[in-house]
Amino acid sequence: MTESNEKSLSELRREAVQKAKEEALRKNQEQQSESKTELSKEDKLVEEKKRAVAEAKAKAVAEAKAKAAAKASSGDANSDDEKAKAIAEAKAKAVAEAKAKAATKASSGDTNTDDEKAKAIAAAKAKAVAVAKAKAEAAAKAKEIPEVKTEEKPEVPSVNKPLLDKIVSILGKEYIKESYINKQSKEVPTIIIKEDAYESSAKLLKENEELSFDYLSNLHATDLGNELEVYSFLYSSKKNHSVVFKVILDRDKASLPSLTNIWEGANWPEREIYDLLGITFINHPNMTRMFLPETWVGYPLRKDYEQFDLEV
Amino acid sequence: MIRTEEMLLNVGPQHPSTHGVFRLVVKMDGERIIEATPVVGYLHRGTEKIAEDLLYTQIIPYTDRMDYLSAMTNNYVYCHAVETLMGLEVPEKAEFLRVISMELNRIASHLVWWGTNLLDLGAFTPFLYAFREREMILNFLNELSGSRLNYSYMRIGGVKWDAPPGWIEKVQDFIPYMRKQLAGYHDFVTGNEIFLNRVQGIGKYTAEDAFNFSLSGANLRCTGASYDVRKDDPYSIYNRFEFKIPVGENGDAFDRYMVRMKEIEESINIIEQACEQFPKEGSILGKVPKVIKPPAGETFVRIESPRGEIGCYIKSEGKTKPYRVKFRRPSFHNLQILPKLLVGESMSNLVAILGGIDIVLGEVDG
Repeated sequence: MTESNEKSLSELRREAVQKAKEEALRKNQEQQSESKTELSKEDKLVEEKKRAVAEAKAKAVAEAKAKAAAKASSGDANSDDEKAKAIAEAKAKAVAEAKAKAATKASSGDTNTDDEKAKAIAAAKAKAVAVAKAKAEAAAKAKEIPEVKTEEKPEVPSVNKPLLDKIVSILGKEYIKESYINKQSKEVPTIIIKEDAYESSAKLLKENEELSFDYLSNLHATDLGNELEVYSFLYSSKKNHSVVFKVILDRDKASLPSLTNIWEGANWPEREIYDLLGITFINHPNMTRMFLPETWVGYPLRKDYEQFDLEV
Repeated sequence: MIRTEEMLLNVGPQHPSTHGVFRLVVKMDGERIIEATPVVGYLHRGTEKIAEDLLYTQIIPYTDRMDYLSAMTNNYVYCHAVETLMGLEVPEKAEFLRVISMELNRIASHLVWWGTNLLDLGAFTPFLYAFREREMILNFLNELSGSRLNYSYMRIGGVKWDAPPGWIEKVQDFIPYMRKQLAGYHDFVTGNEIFLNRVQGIGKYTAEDAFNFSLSGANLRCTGASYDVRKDDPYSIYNRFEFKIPVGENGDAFDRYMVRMKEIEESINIIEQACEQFPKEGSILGKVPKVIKPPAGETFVRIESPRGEIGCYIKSEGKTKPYRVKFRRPSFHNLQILPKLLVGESMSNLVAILGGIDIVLGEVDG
């Protein structure tokens, strides 16, 4: 698409330029036939131009002087303004020079100047047209692209959608707060379970033959501000699939049944959570702090934690 | 009759065989261990808490210091998590450099384990051989990253440095040398009768136990379970290379030894293939915004480190700092089974079993 568009664009441009050239040529020929009869007129014109240019120059010089004076008086307060002024001056000079050149050309009796102008104008017009067209096309393209995207997005269902549906049906919809596919986490099915169904659902996830999540890969908790979230990542070595199993807890009554009876590997991670986030696990064989000393005050990974230290 | 009394013995926290600051309170009846209670946390630095107050790039050096024997895999798991969260594409060349450096690091890490584990068992010389070869690998990684141990080589979206001229060729020259040395190791140690008597049949467990205790790496594969994240949930460009997952049969300390030795071999194979396919052209850093601000959401990724499955969880609220970072540290999970293994064993087997698990305390304590 884009290639052909570009091709057609460049072709259009070439055509426009050719047309402009042809027109210019035609005009040139006409003018040459006229110019012989109207030489005296042209001379007058040239003289007028010269005068105008001289006037313009004088004006520009006067303006520059005035600006310089203004600068001096303003005490160079604003460097940006100065720059702008300098640029304006430079532009004015350049314009004046260009005019002067044009004038000298005109004075040398070059009959082609007008033709050149005409050509330039025609070319500029052609360019403008081409640019406008290009812009219009680009805009059309830009419009087209998002349309395509929006069409594509809903057409791709996740590979793990059937797994998610299966897990939801096995655990029972009434026990599930929320279930979705987490696109940012390699499309892992994610389930937020209701607090009272936490232990029984975990047992089902491990013991159901279709799911058989026998590997507790990760278990940790996060302080969400108003609530605490316990996150476990389960993996099945037999089926080679995984699921994220979450539960949301009240911050003030943070306790959960321990999963150590289901996965022995939950032992230390649960102690770590107790240590750093202060969630108590009921029926845990050894609910003590994992890393910090028993005398430590507070739970460091809670967002409102402030260090309690007698020496500080 | 001889009357025996129960004795409480503290192994560590300062003990050379614990490879760090790990304390084990052992209750003994004569030579037999009745109960063992691990006490950890001496090296807890609160990486996860610190990370909540750092910009995303600033966290990379902290990951080096968790499993300091394989900083490359730690770098990778963190960068991979941020990339997954943001949906970033990593250039092919960067992935090649990552894989080569990670596998080199895996060999270096296994060599440290091989040397020190045998040192624990009373064999001194293998340690010197292992560190000679390890030093060569560290030199490669030094040339690549400018650091011998804490590389901080990877960046979100790629790597920091391109391979210096001639580096790939040097690594290629190292491959046959390492193969020869590895064969020498087997001649030297693996067939040794004293060594076999120390490790065969001790610290046994089944695959079911291993899964139940969330073990990973060689600790899991020694039981015959073939679970390796590189194969089961491929990341990076591992699906382009041919390699096997070595597994054991009996789940004892000797099988853990053999699995690790074979893993060195497989890592050499991966490096060989990666060096052959290494793209000469291409960028080493993807299109990454100057300020890294992942969209709100959460992600959990896992990869295979020398010690097992290392994972990284990131929760973002769309700010320049993460809301919560959690590392799934394989040593921490692997160490859980230790009390179960030690009950009923003799005191002299403690070191052989602990050495076989291959822990790094920086990772256990986080």
